Amino acid sequence: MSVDTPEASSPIEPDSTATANGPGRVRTAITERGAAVGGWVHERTGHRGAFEWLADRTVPGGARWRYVTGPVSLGLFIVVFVTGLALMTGYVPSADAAWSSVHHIESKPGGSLLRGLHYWTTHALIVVFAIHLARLMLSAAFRSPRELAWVSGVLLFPLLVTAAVTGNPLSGSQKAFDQVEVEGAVLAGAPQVGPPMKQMLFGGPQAGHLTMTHFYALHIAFLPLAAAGLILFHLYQLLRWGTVRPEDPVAGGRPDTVNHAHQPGETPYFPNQTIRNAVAFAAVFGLVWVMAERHPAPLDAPPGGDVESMPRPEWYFRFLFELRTYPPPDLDFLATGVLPTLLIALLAAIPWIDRLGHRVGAAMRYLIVFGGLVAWSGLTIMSMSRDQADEHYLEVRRAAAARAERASELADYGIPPEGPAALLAADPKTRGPELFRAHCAACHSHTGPAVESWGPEHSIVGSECNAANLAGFGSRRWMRNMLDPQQVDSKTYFGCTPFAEGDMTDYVKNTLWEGVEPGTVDAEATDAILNAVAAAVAAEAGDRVHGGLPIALDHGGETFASDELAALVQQGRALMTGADGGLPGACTDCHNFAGEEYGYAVTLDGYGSRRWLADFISNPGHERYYGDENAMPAYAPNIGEDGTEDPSNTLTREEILLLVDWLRGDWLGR
Amino acid sequence: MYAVCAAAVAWPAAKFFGAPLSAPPVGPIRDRAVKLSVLTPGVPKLVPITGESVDAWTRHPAKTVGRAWVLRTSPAEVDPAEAEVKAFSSVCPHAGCQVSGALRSAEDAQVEALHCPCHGAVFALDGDALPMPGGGPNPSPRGLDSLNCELVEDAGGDWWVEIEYKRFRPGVAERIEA
Repeated sequence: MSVDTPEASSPIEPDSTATANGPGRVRTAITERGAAVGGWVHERTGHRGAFEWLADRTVPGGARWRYVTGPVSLGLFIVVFVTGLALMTGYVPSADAAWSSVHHIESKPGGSLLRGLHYWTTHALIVVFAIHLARLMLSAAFRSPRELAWVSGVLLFPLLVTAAVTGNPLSGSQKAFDQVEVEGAVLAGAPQVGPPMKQMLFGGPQAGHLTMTHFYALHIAFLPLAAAGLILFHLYQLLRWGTVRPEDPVAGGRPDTVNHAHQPGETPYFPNQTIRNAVAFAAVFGLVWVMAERHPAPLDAPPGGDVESMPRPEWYFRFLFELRTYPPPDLDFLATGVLPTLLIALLAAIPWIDRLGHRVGAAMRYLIVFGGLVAWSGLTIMSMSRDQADEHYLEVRRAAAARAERASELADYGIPPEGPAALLAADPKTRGPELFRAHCAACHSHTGPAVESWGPEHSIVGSECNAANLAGFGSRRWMRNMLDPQQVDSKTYFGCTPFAEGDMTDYVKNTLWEGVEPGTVDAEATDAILNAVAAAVAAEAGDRVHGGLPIALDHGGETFASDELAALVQQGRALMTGADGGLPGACTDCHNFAGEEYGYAVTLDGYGSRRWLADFISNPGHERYYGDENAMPAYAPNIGEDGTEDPSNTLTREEILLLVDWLRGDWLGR
Repeated sequence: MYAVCAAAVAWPAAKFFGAPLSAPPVGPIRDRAVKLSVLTPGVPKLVPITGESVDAWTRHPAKTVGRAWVLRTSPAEVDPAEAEVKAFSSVCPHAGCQVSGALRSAEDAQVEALHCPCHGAVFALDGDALPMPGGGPNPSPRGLDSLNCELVEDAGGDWWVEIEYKRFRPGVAERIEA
């Protein structure tokens, strides 16, 4: 259309928009104006010819499905690039905040899908681009004059993989830092230049803020820019020399199939090949999208905690990990540095090696592609199957997965200003079992139906039975069963302790239930009285600090309705103090309860409460508790100057409270 | 087909970038900002308001979220339970600067007015926008925004000014909660 005619560039008449039969005229006017604007732009940019190169391109020998590997790789690179840009709007590269910001991305609408797309597209890109290179190799597409197209492709591969590897630590998780340490060690293994290079990359002797900013800069700018440069060169070479003639792969040294215009009998590239490209790309992208939707990119637990880690590289580098197990440790660098460099150099040199002869070249091409595939997958499978057979490795992975899930759950409540490492460090659900195993499980157990619903890691059997099973301690069930003559001297309570012969056991077995036959009306009455006492004692345990029902309503594997509690507790208190003479001997005969002075048995004021338990563990020999009869170690008996923490104590107050909260089933998210 | 793929990337990206639009509104922050006993009757005092603040992923349990001018209007002899106190947000209703200055009278150095350092808006101690000292219109479209406050006694018997801190939209004559 001519754009310079007065009709096309004339202004729209003002009344044309107002008339009843106006829309048609308006559309015409807009089209004309659009053409006029387009013409004005075209005059200056020439954009209408922008796709002439595509219209002129041909595919010698016809369009082929196998030619899609290059365009699909390019499309995937663009997806990685664009999703990466989007992720930048929410990510912070610092050792303190990286994990938090990634968790934030994962928890916001669209964020998990974006990160999943970025993650899975990277994997797809590595696979598709490897196939692309293998295809070019097998079709000998590297031959003159396309040597530099080949070399740029070969160099792109390690560049893309390095870009992917530098992205892994950005999550700032424990696994990320473990991987960074290994990568740093690999780098430092290079003779002479290695250690200073590692120091520069890390920004210091160990991974930290600068490590994150360095990896970030490499990941989002330096490596993608370098890759984009190589891609542009690769594409330029493709347009310059065209697609290789499939029936003539042995072109020798002569320039062939240089196509800038249709030649008789040659298929135009557009739309024959472009449709195949689009379908193939949409299929790969669709697969990636479904993966991203169903399997979000992993986010390991934040750093910190005394947990074992067994870092492994990503699947594409597993073969190097496996190779490393063969040379002696001081020759590690052969496997991790020299060998990959030689492989890349060998691939880049193919066009020249190929000239040694027809048969040599063909043999070498097939040997490299299929031999390489067999070697790579063999080493990868060996390494992975070894891990799968290693029960310890699997256990470490399971524990790491549990920590990751818990950290993510806690982070949903908001991350404290101290950073994400504080999430698990201050979590009773995580630290409780650790502390119990380390300090309590030599004598105590914590197992049974009371804590079954907490999960297997909370069920801990003591190495010896020297003390009570503390599962559900302070709950109504725990108290009620202690007042059962069959159970009071069982392993759950005093069975393993000197108190098996003590006054409490004697009271329960011989006084409380004296003359009460099971199944009688008397037994039912006693049972009702003891339920009231158990409720009154459990009520002393009070509320939970992390939210949830009070201990008396929900602990020890049982949940009660709240409406009857007050009356039950009132009845129980009267029984305990002897105001109601239903018990043969009041609790307060031996115990302090709502009284002025400590009795000779443990105080029941605040029994099972946070304070009671923490003070008990700190110093069970205190006159409030077991006094002279105590046999348990004191975990924090000393009070430092001005009430500060005394370093000579076995446990800090904070640790004791973590243990206490855990025993009380008191943590965020219950 | 490429357009569908592009949309499948653009859609989550737009949702993610637009997520702050659907963030839950931040409610008013109640803070026991200052003890009554440190307020001199008739002398306004600028006090920080501390409260829980969520910044994307970080939850700050106690962070300074804003400031308020607090003025004890009743004389010192009045019983604390009966005392009268006023509080104003220190955010200037003109452009959102901090009204941090106090103008004192030449004679007795008493604070007469509050002053915004950005564009010179001046406010009476009761919050009203005053005529500019050098003539001309006051840049602030309305007086300082008053904040609800009440006197509360703590367990130790001290009386505190508890302020309900809110933010208001600057630049308009009406008082609109932000």
